[in-house]
Amino acid sequence: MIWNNIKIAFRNLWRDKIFSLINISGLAIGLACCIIIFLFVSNELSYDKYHKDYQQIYRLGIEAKLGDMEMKGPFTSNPMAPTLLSEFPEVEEAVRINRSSSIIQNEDKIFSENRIFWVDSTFFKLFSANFISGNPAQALNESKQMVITKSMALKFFGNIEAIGKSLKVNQNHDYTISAVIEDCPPNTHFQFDFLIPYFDYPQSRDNFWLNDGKYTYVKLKKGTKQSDFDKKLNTLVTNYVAPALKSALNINYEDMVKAGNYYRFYSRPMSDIHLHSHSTFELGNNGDILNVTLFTIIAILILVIACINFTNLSTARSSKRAKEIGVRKSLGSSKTRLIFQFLFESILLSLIAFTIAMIIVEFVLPITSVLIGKELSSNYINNPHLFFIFLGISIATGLLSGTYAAFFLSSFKPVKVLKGELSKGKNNLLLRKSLVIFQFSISIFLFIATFTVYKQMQFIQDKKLGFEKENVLVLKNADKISNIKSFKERIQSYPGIISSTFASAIPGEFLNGNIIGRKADLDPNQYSFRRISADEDYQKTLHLELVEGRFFNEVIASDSSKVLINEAGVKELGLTNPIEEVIARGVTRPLTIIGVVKDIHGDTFRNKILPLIILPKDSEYQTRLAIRYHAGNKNAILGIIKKEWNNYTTNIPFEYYHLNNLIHDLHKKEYATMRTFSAFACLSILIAILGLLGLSSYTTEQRIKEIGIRKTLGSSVEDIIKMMNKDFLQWILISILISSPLAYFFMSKWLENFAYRANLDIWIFIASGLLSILIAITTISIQTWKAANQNPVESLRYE
Amino acid sequence: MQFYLARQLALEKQTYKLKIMIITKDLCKVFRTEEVETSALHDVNLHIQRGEFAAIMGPSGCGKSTLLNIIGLLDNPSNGSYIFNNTDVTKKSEKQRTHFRKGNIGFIFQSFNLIDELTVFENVELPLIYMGLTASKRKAKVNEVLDRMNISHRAKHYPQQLSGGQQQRVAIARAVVTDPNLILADEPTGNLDSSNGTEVMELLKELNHSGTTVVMVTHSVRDSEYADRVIHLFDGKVVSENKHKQIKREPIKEEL
Ligand SMILES: Nc1ncnc2c1ncn2[C@@H]1O[C@H](COP(=O)(O)OP(=O)(O)OP(=O)(O)O)[C@@H](O)[C@H]1O
Ligand SMILES: [Mg+2]
Repeated sequence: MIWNNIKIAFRNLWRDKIFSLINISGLAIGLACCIIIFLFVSNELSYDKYHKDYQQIYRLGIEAKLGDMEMKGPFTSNPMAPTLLSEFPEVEEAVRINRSSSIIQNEDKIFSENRIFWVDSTFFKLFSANFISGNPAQALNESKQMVITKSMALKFFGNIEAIGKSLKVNQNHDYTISAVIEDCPPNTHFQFDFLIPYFDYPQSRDNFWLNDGKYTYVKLKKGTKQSDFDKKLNTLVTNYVAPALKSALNINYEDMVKAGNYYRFYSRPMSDIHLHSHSTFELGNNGDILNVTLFTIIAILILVIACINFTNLSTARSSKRAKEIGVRKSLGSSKTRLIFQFLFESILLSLIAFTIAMIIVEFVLPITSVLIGKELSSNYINNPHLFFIFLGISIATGLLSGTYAAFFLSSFKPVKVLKGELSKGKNNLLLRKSLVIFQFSISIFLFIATFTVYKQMQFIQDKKLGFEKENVLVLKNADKISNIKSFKERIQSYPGIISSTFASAIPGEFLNGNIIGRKADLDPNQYSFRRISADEDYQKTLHLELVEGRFFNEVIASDSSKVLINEAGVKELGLTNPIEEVIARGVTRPLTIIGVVKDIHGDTFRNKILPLIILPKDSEYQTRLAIRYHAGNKNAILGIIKKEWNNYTTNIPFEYYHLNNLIHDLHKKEYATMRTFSAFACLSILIAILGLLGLSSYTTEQRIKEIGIRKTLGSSVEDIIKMMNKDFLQWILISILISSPLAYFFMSKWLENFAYRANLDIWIFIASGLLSILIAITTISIQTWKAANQNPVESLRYE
Repeated sequence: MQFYLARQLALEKQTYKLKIMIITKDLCKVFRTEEVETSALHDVNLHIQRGEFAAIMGPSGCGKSTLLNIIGLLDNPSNGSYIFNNTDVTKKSEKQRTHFRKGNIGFIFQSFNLIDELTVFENVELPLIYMGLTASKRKAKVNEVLDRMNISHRAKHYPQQLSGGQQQRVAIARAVVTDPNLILADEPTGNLDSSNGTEVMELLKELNHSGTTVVMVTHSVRDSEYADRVIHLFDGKVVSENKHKQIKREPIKEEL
């Protein structure tokens, strides 16, 4: 019986090769997209869930508004953790973390490392790690202990037997390896290579509540509610922060609040950090819940489109088989048996599609990994439930579409006994109509979305950065050069090199350095500025644009008390004539503005350009040497610089990057998401077109007799094609009306994520509408052409 | 004398030609499906005069409908030639055939072939739309013909809401609304009871009397008695042509 069914099913599939091909490929592509998206989404959702008791672990942060300045981020101060441990019984553990980057050395192996963290000794009570050697309880108990990961052990010692050996930090501190642990899994917001005891951090005993550059993680006792904890957390503001404000800045906290300001602590569940926290002070490259939602929606849409197609195509094909069914029924085949055969066939189809989808996924995953910028693996053996979920989805798809087709078909009457049945029923028409409108709405939505994403990408690419990123090489560790002035002169004497600048940061790295600037006339307001300190060649080397004033000049000695600010800074301070204005930095000496530079995009376009202050050289610790060279032989120039580097330093790793790569990396994630989105959108549109093909063939089938009659009455081929298009066009227009406002809403929401964004202009909507109309007309006309051109008798015979 | 005779002959030929609407010569139709080849028509030679009422009879499957479809330019013959209104239409494309059909030929089918989604009025209006008439002209014509067929009270109904006889009257109304020169009817009474059948036949007779050529396929001897001539088909061949009576029609329709 089953065998017989299989035989018949395969024969039917084979008989209608084109149909089977379209139907199977549509569903296979759809399923493959879904599987890939599902892998991506489940990976994003898995972040930090491997930590034991992760539901009890939170990261603390500050949310504050002082005048114009609003900030929110995971920065807390030194005394936070000890205070919580002593005053809050519900806090089981509290761990402080502070980032550091240093040069690490074992004999001739010298590298500068930036994933080094000072952490409290209870670190491993919060963060789970797999110890290869060493004891979690004692690994960070003593001064100058160091925990390293396996890959660092291999990098510096060549094997994992590192315990007891020591590494030199910044050329003068010896740290002893107390434990070697497995590398952090990729799905955590916090990746580290080295851990060292917090009390070795020079300012670890600083008790000032406003010095907030550290991370604090807490583990709460089971059953503690986050909202209760948060409420209690904020008693710390009045108890500790308010007095600090008073003593250090002479600010009265009550007055400050009355003026509409606030200062609050908050906690964020650790497993939420990856998708929900977007501070510029994150420990890693976080994801975005918006992308997860977006891709989930796309996956669902793709699946729905694929299912609708499958149903439509099955029904379309089945009406071809109406006659066969009529005969079968009149020969006594029961309704249930017919339904069974149909279900069987469509499930078989969906299983074939599923198999193909799995194969597609295996081939495409490596590509998507590049596209998304993260490794995804299907790994069905480790995740058997994944396999079964998708198997279930495909069987359900087959079942669903099969059921519809089966009931639709088995309701065909072998003889048209009752006149009423001549009309296929208004319900059927309504259903068909809604399916088309639904599909079209999705497609048009995706068109609009894709165009918008594309436009934003274009916008980012074309946006003037405020500096010139090409042909600039940046050396790290430049502070270790014995005589920077002479080094600069030396390399600049080579013809390929144009200029160089010694500075604390390069655009793209303006991460740290919130300061409170103040106008000299004792404006009580505080302003948050990013800051860099740079020598007089900074503007020349990076091609910063001056709006007014001048840049630093080496020969003017008084320039050591002069500064430049950017346009955002002028706006922030509310200056109309910034040149010669005097501002103060904290409590230090006053600084006079000598120039204004154009805003510099040194961050993703999601964030607004912050006020920036360029301080004279050596006001900050400077570690970067940016070198502009003539386009051309990059490698020769690198060789020259490296040679000179070795003349000017001892045992310092020669590390560099190209400025354009740095900037590219900054937007890489953005591009990746956009490209991935567009790819999936295009695929789902492709599936929708396949569906349209099916649907129009279905409609043509259904109306073939009408076509015959009309042609008998003198209708031309063009009339018929026009008629067949008319309905669809009406439906497309409705779809445009439905999807445009939705797309407008969602895409402007999406664009709001960018402080610098393209406009959602009307052309995107017009183009999407026209494109979908064009696609529909082409598809339908191709379908109808054959039916309209055949002899009317052939259509009339169709019953 | 000789010259006179020749001239007379030529003249006669010419007038004959004018009088003849349909000439088929060695008409063949072969249907090919994947497995079998059916020869539906075999060397059919027919002349049908303008204004004639011809009936085609024969057993089922003998090719009656096939012949009618070819005559009606709904299908192409496989072989032989077909001259319609003095034009050789054997090798015309579907597009050209559509052009010939439009307004010249009305069809009546056994199964009515009305469009379910359209009302009676819209069904009848359809051929006029394809002829490119304005809405007001169409309205007048449709109402007139619906009146004539005694069905105007059903103008807003859908086909399924009508009886078989009423549906066939609508089909006839649709066939004649363009004032065609030729009406082709394939078993027009096949799905009707005898009183409705008689009514339809009377309508056809009336149309014929007003000058329209009618070719009708039928199984019923009674219906065939309305015709001037009965053509018997058997196995795709014409086996006999019986004249019932002399053709005596006065107003022959204008040519197109
Ligand atoms: N499209 C087609 N494909 C294959 N064979 C066909 C086709 N149309 C007609 N035939 C065959 O041609 C022959 C003549 O068919 P036709 O429909 O003309 O018969 P008919 O005389 O009208 O019969 P009936 O009285 O039953 O209507 C039949 O044997 C039929 O099977
Ligand atoms: Mg027939």
